[in-house]
Amino acid sequence: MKLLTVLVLAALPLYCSAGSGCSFLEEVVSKTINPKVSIPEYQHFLEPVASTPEEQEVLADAKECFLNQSNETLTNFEKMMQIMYSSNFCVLH
Amino acid sequence: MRLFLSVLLVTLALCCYEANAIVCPDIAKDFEGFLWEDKTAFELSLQKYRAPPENVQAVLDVKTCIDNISAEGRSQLVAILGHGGHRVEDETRGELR
Repeated sequence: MKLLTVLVLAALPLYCSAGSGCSFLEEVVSKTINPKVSIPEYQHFLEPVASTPEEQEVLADAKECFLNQSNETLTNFEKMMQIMYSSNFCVLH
Repeated sequence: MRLFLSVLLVTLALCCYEANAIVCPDIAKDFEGFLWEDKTAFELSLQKYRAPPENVQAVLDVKTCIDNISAEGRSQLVAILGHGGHRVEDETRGELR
């Protein structure tokens, strides 16, 4: 029982801290990569933090960079994000 | 058993509670590098993740396009990501949809 307690306590912080540390950022990245999210949808999602015409335009430019990529590139980009989120640099954050 | 459950619940509350949106510093740095850094230097900074070459290349391919956005535009993108983090702190559980 004591051993179980120690193991659970040791595992929980590592499990809970895995990730970028910011679910909003992860969601932004996810929508940026997702080819099913259109430019207008993307702009609307980020409108609370990017409401000026200039900001909306730059969001469109950035999103277009991703929409112009092949599915293979987007898949590999997503995999890179997962590697970064689950890396020791972030797990121990 | 009661003690174990109590400790478990407290630990869950402390460890899994997202008090704010503090981004992992390395992630934040690499996201900025994606937007700002010279491609060669940025590629070097990604080596620490020891990711498969095709995953790294995918990021670099997109960066080629991102680098065509004006400096002012990329500066705005950095600011947007930064505001988003703070916005989650300010909002009640930050529903930005």
